[in-house]
Amino acid sequence: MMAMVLDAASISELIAAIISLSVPMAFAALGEVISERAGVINLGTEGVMLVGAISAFYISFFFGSDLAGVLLGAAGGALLGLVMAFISISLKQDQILSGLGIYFLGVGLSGFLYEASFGQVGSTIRITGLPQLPIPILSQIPVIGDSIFSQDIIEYLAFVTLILVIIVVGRTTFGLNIRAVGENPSAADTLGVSVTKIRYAAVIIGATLAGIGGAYLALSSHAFQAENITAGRGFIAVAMVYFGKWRPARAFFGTFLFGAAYLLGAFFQVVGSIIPYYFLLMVPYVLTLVVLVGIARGARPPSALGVPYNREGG
Amino acid sequence: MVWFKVTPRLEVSRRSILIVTVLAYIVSPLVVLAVLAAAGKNPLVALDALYRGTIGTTAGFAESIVQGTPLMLLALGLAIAYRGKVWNIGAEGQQVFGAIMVTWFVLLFLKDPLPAYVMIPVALLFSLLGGALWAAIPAVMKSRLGINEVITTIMMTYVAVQALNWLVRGPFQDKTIPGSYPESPVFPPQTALPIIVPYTSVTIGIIISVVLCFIGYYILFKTPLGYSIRAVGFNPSAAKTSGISVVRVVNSAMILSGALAGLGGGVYILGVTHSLLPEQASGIGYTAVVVSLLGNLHPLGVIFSSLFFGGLMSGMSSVERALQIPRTLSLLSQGIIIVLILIIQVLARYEIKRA
Amino acid sequence: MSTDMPNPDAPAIAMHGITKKFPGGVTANDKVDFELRTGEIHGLLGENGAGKTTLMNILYGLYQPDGGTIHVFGQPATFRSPADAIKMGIGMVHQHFKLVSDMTVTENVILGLKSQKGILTDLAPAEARISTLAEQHGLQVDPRSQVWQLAVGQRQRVEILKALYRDAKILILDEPTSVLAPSEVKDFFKSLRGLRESGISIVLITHKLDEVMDVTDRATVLRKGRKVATQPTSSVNQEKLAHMMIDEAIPPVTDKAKTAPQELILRVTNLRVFDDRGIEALKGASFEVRKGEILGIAGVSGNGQRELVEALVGLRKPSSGSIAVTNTDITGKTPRNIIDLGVAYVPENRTEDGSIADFGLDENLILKDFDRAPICGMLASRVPTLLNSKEIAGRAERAISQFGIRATGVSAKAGSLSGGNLQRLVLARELSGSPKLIVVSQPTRGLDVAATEYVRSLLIQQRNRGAAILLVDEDLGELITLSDRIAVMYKGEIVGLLQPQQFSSEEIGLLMTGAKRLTSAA
Repeated sequence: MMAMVLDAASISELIAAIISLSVPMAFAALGEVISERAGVINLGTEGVMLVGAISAFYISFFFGSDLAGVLLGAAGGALLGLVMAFISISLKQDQILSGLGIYFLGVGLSGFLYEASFGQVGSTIRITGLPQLPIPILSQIPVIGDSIFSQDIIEYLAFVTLILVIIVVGRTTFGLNIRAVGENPSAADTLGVSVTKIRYAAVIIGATLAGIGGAYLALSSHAFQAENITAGRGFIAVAMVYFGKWRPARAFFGTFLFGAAYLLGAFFQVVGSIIPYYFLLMVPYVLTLVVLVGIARGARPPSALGVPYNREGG
Repeated sequence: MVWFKVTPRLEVSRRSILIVTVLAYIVSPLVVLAVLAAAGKNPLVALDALYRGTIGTTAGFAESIVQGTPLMLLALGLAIAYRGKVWNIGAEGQQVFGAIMVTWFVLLFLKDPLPAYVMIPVALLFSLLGGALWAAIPAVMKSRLGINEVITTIMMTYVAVQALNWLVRGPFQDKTIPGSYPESPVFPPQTALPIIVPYTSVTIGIIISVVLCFIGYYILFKTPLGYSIRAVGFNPSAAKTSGISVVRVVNSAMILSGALAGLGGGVYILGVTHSLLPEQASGIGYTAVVVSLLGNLHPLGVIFSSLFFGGLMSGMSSVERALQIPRTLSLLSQGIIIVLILIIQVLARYEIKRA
Repeated sequence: MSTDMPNPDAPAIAMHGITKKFPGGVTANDKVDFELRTGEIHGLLGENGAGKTTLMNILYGLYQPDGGTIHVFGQPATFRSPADAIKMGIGMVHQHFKLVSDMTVTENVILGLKSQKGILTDLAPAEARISTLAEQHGLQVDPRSQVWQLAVGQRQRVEILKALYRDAKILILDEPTSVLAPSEVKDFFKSLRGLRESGISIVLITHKLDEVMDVTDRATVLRKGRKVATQPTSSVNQEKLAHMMIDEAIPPVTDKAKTAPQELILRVTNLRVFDDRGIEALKGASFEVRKGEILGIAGVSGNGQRELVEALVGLRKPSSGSIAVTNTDITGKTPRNIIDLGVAYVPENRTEDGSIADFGLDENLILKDFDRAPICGMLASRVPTLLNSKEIAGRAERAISQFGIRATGVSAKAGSLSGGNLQRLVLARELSGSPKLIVVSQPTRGLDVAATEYVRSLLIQQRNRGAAILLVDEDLGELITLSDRIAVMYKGEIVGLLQPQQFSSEEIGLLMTGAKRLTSAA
């Protein structure tokens, strides 16, 4: 991020940086859309991303394979998703509390694993990131060619995942079941749809995607600053689901707004500005608050969101 | 996935809740010891260090109280808020901002401090106000706009932490010492909370906290405010139909918990650190969530759970020193404990049958 | 499994010795036998709480019986979930529809079924089949419309189509006419007869005796969890059926004292209210209620009654018009202000809006005045201090004895009370303090005979004392018995205001469905 002048090359770098910064949140947001459409809000997404991050970091550092790192991150996410599903669906505990438990678990687990493997927190152990994969021909286009069409494989995967999620939710029986279970679980139940199974699946898929997002975060940041590598991205991803009114594409692109916000801090620090550095770091969080106020009036969540399902009687 | 069926019990006796809570107290340290053993550390050495760090020595016991005191205040506020189903997760930001307000006040009188019986109460008042202010924004966002308070309070915490980072490197920084350290000037002795146990750092903070817990108990169960908070927490629809202003209750619960969190931050800075440091953002606000749950959201239960946790934190430091293991073990323990608590509490509230 | 071929002579359903107990000691079904013959419409009768719905829920796999056997077309069957019942050709339409309002009719119908296109949904052939079935059975509805756009009668059709789509040979209908107006009921019965002609066997759960006489072939009466009798409809009449259903003589409602018109308590003028979807639910209603009279509000639910009630008690702001209680304007005021003016509210949903399940009886009784004397200590008569536990306990004890609430003690949780006792609790709270105006909605819904009688007599008592009462009730018989005047609502307007001599379910029925109109359009 050295370019200061707004020419084609630096705009291109800007776009590339925004995409890179947003992709972790975008994955998490997509995952959370699935989970919430099925009626389960997972506030532990932040913790899941942390676990994904440490898993990828560990594999990448010790074994050199970034893709294996992403896979382990996904697996870690799935595992935490299973715990979340168990506590909030089978044990019918309050979803907010369950999610918080997952958050704490994720924070503790990731920090502990980092120190157990690498020693001191905050030291600058670095890993090499993922290689760029330019798409032939398209990457020759000025400005966007170098950014949108020259991403690394996980960034491409993010867009592919978006399309997959849109298709799954809108056009498959699984998606139909998810929507039914989130709006009127009793209706689905009486038709033989297992509310429990669908919600388990949705939560686990959601957490898996968040795990991938966290994995990518570690790989693209090249370093792991323990508790603060996610810096609230998981919660912002959840807020993005509200912002996007539970539609995958809107939530997905909403996160790009925030990728840009995270960028501001780094950008202006190098440029030098009268606004203190730490104020710029506040931008993503203040922006979240503003955005939430802005869309508050129009939001209509899935009707069964947040409510554990109880089939009355034995 | 239907090997067993979980249904809520119809009658949950107070006794079973108590038994289950005590069970959680006992099982959690055992689990931590098991984790240590699994990591190849000697559990007996750990157990001994744990004992010495909590109640075995005066220093350990004092440390338990010192750690538990601000926790008690934060957890008390959270217990009240959670009874109203107001999920304040921003106690961390509120206690940081409380400390910031205290610092602002103290720095005004740095050169010429007023006597202690003025400085201390006023400083604590500022911490109360700071916490209340920081909670006010999410409060209004929830009560008037229905915005999820978990996200908003967490966002406010991130903002507070950045504000802290900026202040200790900027306007509040101690410019009189050579080098550039992120810390405020040391507070004058007139602001230090009086120590009640000689040769330790145990201050009147613990007395303030316990007294407030009792007051909190009365408020929650014997006053109209507490009644309305509980009513809204159980059934906001019926409460509204009966004339209770849900907006007012949500605001009150949130701001009250923010004020108590701010006070906790004030007690910490005036009792332990005596200056504003980045370490003010210690994560205590998140620990308090666990502590309030372990106390069954009861002001008197919080007294026990916060002292238990204070002991746990002190004990864990002792274990870390004895076994040479990293600090993040405490973080992991907290995570395990909260999950454990949720699972154990299921035993009291639900019956599990084979399907 | 004994035979593979269904026995053509076997009854469609044979339930034998079915027993079901619920936690809390309630025996909902006590060794009940029930038989449904192929190609018949069989009425299942009983009062609220007699066990009809429980029995059918067992048949549909929602509940597991504690004892007894079930045979479907001669094959023994155990249903662990509705999926099992559906596989054996049983379909059920519940009293409260199980539809996903955001999805289309087609999506709702195919929910839970395997798609031809693997994991992708295959809507086109489904749409076609639904249309065919709809035509065939006279249940027209547009498969592409989203459920939230449909009227209640149409939604019911969707529910039936759901079952027919799954080749149901047995259809269970739970109180299907409770959401229909009298003329819609005629069309509905026509469809039922049509379904019977196509060979479908139908169970009709109902408590309405005239309907049983109209459309069923046989009727089974349940009482307090036991089967009383099964008779061909042709051999009974309404009196005989009523006698089988109820074992106590119902004491007649205490006579309403005829009074001369008195002071005006409630005046509503041109009230307009929007519902949650932004559609105008109340379109300019005007009426008055005087001291010592009961004004009944008749109408099929969903015609603006809910929004009217909510506006009166401060839970919903009207968009225009005015409401005045004893000449004080309360339009748009908060529930607190309205309560302070002497308005009491007995809500339709007593567990959600009328009480707090986790609070004790004593705590529920102070919901409206917990921050005032004498329940709360006051400083200088203005500042509330501490709750007065003696006063609170005293009030609870008086309420228990005065209103006959059966509970284990003053701090028994409201959630542990039965429907009738819970309603007594709500009434104890609302009727204390001699309210000027009582707004009450569906007061006897879900209550047994004794509780129903008690509630009715309480309302008459209050009327005689001089309270003005606004009674919204789906039970036409009850409405006619209790009201001094009846206003009929249809599509958000009052289409008729009837004097006692005009009370007849025919007349009210016509007004309720918009077939007739007595007032001029607003």
